[in-house]
Amino acid sequence: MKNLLIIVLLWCTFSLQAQNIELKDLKNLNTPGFQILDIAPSNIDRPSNPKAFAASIMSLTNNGTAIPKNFALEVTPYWYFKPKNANVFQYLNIKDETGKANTFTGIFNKMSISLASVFNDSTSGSLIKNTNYIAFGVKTNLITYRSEKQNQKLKTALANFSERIINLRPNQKDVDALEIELNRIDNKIREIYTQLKNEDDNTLKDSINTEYQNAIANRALLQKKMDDFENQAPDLLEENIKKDTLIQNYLKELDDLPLIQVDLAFAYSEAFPDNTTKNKRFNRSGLWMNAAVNAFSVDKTELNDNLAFILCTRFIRDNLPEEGSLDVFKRINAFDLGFKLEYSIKDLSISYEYIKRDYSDKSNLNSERKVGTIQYKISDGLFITGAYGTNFGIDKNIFTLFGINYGFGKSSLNSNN
Amino acid sequence: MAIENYFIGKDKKEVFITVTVSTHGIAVTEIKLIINGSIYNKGASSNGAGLVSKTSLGFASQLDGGTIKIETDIVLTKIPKTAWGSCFENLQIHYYLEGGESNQKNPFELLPAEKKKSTSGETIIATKKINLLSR
Repeated sequence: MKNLLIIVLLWCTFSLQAQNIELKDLKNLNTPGFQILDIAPSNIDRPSNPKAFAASIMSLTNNGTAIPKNFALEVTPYWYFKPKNANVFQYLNIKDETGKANTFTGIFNKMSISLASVFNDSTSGSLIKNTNYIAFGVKTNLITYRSEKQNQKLKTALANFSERIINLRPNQKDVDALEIELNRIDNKIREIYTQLKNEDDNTLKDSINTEYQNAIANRALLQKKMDDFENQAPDLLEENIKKDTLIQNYLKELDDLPLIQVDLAFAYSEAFPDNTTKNKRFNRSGLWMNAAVNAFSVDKTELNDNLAFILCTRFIRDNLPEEGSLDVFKRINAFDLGFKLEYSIKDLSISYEYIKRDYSDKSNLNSERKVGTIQYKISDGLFITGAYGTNFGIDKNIFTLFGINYGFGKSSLNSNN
Repeated sequence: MAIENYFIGKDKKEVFITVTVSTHGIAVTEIKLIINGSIYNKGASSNGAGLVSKTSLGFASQLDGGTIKIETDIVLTKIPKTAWGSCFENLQIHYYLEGGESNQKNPFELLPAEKKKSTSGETIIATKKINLLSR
């Protein structure tokens, strides 16, 4: 429990960003803190600041008297720091102007930390009734490597974007005319001010002062107009960008998959029977690594196609109830090794995955998962997924899915389902 | 918003500007000189990072009374939506001016009032104006 409280306190040091979950967030629920508990939370809480976070934790803990339950939090700590020399090359893992590769920049800037709890009144899957399961997870991108050709393509897209956006700035003629007028009046004000300062004759001074006051008033009116233009500009520019086909194509080119991508995730969970610390026990931990190679396409320009080979490894340590018991547990280790072959063409992707699961001390439970998946992108962030095959387990159970899935299944280690 | 001043001196020295931007968004910077009823484009970034390396604005004797306007547009489309607010808060732009009087503020920094964002937070525009004056 102490460890969990430390995690909660550490969490408070980050300023978190408020956001409601969107449909597109459902595509990749591969946040390790949620995955380790086999849950798909319907709402991920991202309090807007540490104060809001503390308030939400306090409400969860029932004034500090109970362990919080049924929550899901996720944060990407990198965004709460103020990097001194951040640039788009680092985020997109492109070689910068000096030729420096940004292969490893994702380790910190794409790292996310998750914290989740699930409490059920009844036994469901691997979760036992009246037990609060709390998990902590972290995931990151270890390596993103782009070939010379890819680097060049993305740099060209950025250069084209830079050139194009200048033409999309709103009200340029009006703003330029106002800038000229403001510059003229500023110079006039400075000139009148010098005259005023040097004039000894009081009558003339009064007249210059009136002129000075008028010029100041005129300037304020012009500045008001300029402020109006400047306040509207971000929304108008954004609208122009959304409508402009050319610039949208340049942005799309930046989505090109890297040649090699390696992601790593770790998660750890504990179980609290009856939501107390008295009988708390280790529940499950896991370490995942995915390595993807995007090496082939028939016609990238016309078809926007890609063949990806993904190597998947996962080590899981589970603490499962003995057969016929709900309070005697045994630790068991398993190692998954497999691959996924995925071909995507425009909005359609077809994939096949094979994963072999080996148990440390129960080789009779060793099994395989073989699943074929078809996914279709209806619109940005909205995907339909269909899958068919056999899942882990000693009985060859048919696995079907219509909805959302990221690949590795959700069964507990010795499940026959 | 108040415009800051840079004193160019009375020598015939050449005045230069360098702009650096710290953001993970796609950034594009353009520098304009407004003087004597005209606007001159003095340079723009071309690589998506918003950087404008050392660029001449002209000679001090020709710049008195001018205003430089440096506009940086930042597009956060490729950044997770949850981070847009932080990108706005953490945006840093430095404007280095060289060739004018010594012992002046350098670099100039982007002030909070000089950046605006769209309603969604996806687009940011940072505008810095600096008067070029001799005294």
